[in-house]
Amino acid sequence: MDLLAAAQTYIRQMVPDDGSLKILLLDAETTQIVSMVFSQSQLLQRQVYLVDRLDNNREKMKHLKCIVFIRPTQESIRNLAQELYAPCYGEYHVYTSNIISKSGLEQIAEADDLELVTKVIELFADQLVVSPSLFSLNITIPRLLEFGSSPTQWNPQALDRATQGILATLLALKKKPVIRYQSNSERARKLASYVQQSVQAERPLFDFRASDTPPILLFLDRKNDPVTPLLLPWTYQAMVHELLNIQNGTVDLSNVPDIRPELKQIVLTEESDPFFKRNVFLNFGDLGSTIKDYVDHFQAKTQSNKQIESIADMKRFVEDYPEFRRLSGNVSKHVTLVSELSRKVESESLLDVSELEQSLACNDAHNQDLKTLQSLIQSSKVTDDAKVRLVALYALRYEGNPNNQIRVLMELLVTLGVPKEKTDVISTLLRVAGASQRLHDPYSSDSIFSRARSGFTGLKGVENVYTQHLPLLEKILSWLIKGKLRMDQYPYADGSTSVPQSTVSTKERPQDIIVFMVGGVTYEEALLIHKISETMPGVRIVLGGTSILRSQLYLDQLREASAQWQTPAGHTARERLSHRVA
Amino acid sequence: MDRPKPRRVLGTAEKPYEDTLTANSHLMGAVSPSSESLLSSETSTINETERFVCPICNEEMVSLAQLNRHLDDAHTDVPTSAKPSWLKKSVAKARQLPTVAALNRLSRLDLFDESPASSTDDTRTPSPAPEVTRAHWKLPSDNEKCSQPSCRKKLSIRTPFGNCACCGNLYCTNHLKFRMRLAQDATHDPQNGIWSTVCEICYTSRPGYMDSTGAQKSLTSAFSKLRATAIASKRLEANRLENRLTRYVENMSLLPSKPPFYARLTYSNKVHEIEQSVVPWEKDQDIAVCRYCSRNFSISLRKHHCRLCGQVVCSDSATNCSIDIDIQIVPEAATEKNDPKTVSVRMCKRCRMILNSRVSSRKSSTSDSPFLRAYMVLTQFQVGIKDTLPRFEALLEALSDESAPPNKEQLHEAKKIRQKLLDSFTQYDIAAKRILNFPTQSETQKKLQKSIYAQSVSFLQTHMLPLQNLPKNFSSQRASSTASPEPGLSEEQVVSLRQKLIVLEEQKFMVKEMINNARKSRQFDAIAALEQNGAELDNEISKLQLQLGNSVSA
Repeated sequence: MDLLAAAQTYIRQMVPDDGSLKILLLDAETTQIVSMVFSQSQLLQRQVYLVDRLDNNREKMKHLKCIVFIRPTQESIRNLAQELYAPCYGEYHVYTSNIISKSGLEQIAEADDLELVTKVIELFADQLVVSPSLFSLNITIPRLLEFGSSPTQWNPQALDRATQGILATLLALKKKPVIRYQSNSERARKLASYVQQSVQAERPLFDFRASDTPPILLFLDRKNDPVTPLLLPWTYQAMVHELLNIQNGTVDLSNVPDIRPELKQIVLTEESDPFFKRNVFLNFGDLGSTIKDYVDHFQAKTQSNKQIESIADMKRFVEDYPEFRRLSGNVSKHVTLVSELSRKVESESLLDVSELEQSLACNDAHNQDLKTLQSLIQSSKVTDDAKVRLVALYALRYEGNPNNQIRVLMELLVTLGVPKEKTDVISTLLRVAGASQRLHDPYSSDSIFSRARSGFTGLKGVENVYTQHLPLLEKILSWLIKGKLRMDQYPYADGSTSVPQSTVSTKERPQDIIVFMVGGVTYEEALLIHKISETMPGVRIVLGGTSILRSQLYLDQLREASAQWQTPAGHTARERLSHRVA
Repeated sequence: MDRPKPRRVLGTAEKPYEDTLTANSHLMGAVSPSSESLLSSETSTINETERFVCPICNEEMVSLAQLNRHLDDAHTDVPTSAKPSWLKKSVAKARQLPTVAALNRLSRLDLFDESPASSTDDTRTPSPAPEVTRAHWKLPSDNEKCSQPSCRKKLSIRTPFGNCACCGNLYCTNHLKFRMRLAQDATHDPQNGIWSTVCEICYTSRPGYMDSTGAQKSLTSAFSKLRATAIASKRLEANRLENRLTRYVENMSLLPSKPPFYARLTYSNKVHEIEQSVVPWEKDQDIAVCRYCSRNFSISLRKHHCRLCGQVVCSDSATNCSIDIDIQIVPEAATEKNDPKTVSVRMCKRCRMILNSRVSSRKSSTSDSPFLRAYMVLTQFQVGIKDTLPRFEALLEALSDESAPPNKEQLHEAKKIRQKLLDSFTQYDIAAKRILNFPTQSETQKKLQKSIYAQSVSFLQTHMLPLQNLPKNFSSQRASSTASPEPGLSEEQVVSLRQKLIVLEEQKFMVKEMINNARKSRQFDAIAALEQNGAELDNEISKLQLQLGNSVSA
């Protein structure tokens, strides 16, 4: 159940360390897949001296062995066929990241007149691996919108991509799971049944060693927990993503004031950066002191490097130098990142914003929240996006409160100069993920006791005022692990509800769980998975989503999608909203 | 208090909360229909032997925790319906008691959650419930420790402990939280095994549990089959075209090259006849656009027929949809005075390609190009270095062993290998530089050479640099052992000085590279340190050269 190890094993197999001169040809999507888990220098060590795109024009180099790794899409197969008609290299090994269709294989075979292809192998690395237990399928705007013509519909292309991605994940992990889904979500149901069908269709591939309890694949829908992606997280990775945006393992810092040129685009993956790996889940407060230690360590090294008196010192210096240079690059990277984060926290008064967000998410105190909210959205320091987020959280929380002021607040936002298309997303959010659309009430854990009872023991609950909120996923997983996940709310995708065998599997504690979040997953939830696996040894959880959300992406996606939804006859979103408010 | 008796029974346990807990598990797991008699028998066994005996099967147990687990594991076949209803109620009540609930959570043994799980097994296993063997269980000695390497806690009555059902070792209950299915001989059996409590090591070392090689499917053979049929059909087609071509050319060559004017009509008729005999032509009126460039035919874009497939194509010289190809015919016997005759054949794009691919099928491999040879040299050195390094390291380890002073042979051997390594490093470096500077016009080739060089530099950095600080420790030893007051240098010393010189030169080169790199990335603080370094290296080198020069002249 280690996605990263599985993906790296695949790539190692593709590019063996055999001394031959190799070029790696990729398409747009496999470039991302490979770059998330394998670095340039690792490729160099395996004699992959050139990496290029299949759709580029390339020179003829007959003395190279060519490794082709593509997603078996029509376009990539066509490109490969063209390459084989006019081959640039001496030998071809073809690897695909998923199951290739019969006609695709024929197309390549027909093109290979000169019999240069010596290997065709299906590998199953069709997902972006972020960490050993987190993956994303990168179905996001602007490339691919996941919603179809209504909030309960898939975009057919996105549905196909998701099915293929999950199928590949299961094959990479060697799991043949029982599949369950959230009953109130049409999209989760559809995806679950598609995956079920493909697993059935590819039965010979899914012939794996039996496990003590069948692994569980659980499909959830983001709409049941719209709160988590809207909250400001306070752990390192999550915070960088929320405030600066991690895209396929790189962070674009070119907007940061006074940035050094070499830091405009930085790589931030656990794989390539041990310091980051250690501190991915560290909260912002502790991060400050860790960074300080790191800098001290670096300075101590610099000091010792300056005192060079003997040949021995010098030799040591020369030996340490490459390591030293790597360290210096890494230190300045993290110092830049953290100082940029704290600059944003300061200049956008994120502490106040976050305190209110947590209060909106966890406490029921309408009047007080409203007062704070009104004063915050009039503050000039708070960004427009943060204001919209706060009102959205308020709307989600007090939607059912007869005294709520959602409409007033939205109008206030407009008069304060927030563009109208930004505020409109609040009504879309209520339409997609309002109380009537949700399966559970995420606000139900009002008393401390109920929270303590439902949760995992040993999970640290309230750490401080900024991290009170726990995602809904925590409850769902604790039910699942205890065998208390209700059959009517989380039915099986094969339709069996009371077959004896499946009752057995519900009672047994599951050992391997794969959770897939339709509508995107957050780093906050990855942190939760990490904590649960620490407290529950013996239970392994892998989390995935159509994308990795940050609040802005979540709202942008809704905005984009709502443009193609027809509003129900006679009512605009606004009218319906005022209906509900009145 | 609804459970007075079990509490008395288990009074030997120290913690009061602990025994309420264990009492509960008894009630859940082991209560037989006549709970009264069970309890009394249990009291008596404890009084008699001070050991724990299972009230149901009379098996001896070494500890309380073990008995509990035995009851949970082996005697869960008591049908749930047989439990008296008062018992069910009190268990239900006990579950809700805050202390029990809290403890249950704290200890995370999840007794309540798991016992139904084990009882469900009985639906699969035949009724006289088979047991997992205990023959391999370790008995606790007086001074037993938890077998978990990270724990090693002393096991006593105060720290509850038990055996791992799989390996049989003793663990404290904190490290016995894992459950998996075991067959009767205590091996892992995921399908029909009995749920048993095991340690982490057994849990994670199950076959397949840590497997990180994903599934894959090789399509190579299916692919080659497809390719073989595709190629066969193409061969067929090529053969056909070739035959047509020969027929066409032969027939055409038999015609006189320049017909007299009176025979023009019959001549063109004959030509047409030959053409039609080779392949029937497509009808002009059926085709409106050229099949390759998809443009409409018009006066400026005339229709033509491919002489080999008979299809209608254009003859635009820009797209080369079809062209006339002149074929020279060398007469076999020069009986006539005819010069070599040429016949022109109009061929469409596709036919041309098929015929061409036949001619240029597989080009000879280019493995003997000078660049590839240079690369082979590089890889050979690399392989050689990788083979030699572990030997050297092993020798060095033997030398640095404090207990056994190094003997001369070993020292000699180590020196030899080190020299060999240094030589190959130098040659490796030279080979890498040769590749970098290999003359080429192609941009991609240049890029390729640069990457190879970059890789070779990082190879040198990882493998050569550690080598350099090693000789220090045995050169000092040697100095003490072979210290000779001669003014001139012995041969051995010359060799060692030479070696030092090589090392230093190498370092100087590296420092230079680093300075250049630092300049490029504008790390001026690093440059200062590096330059100082370089100056000192120069100093040292000139000193050594002086020494060496003296000895040579002397």
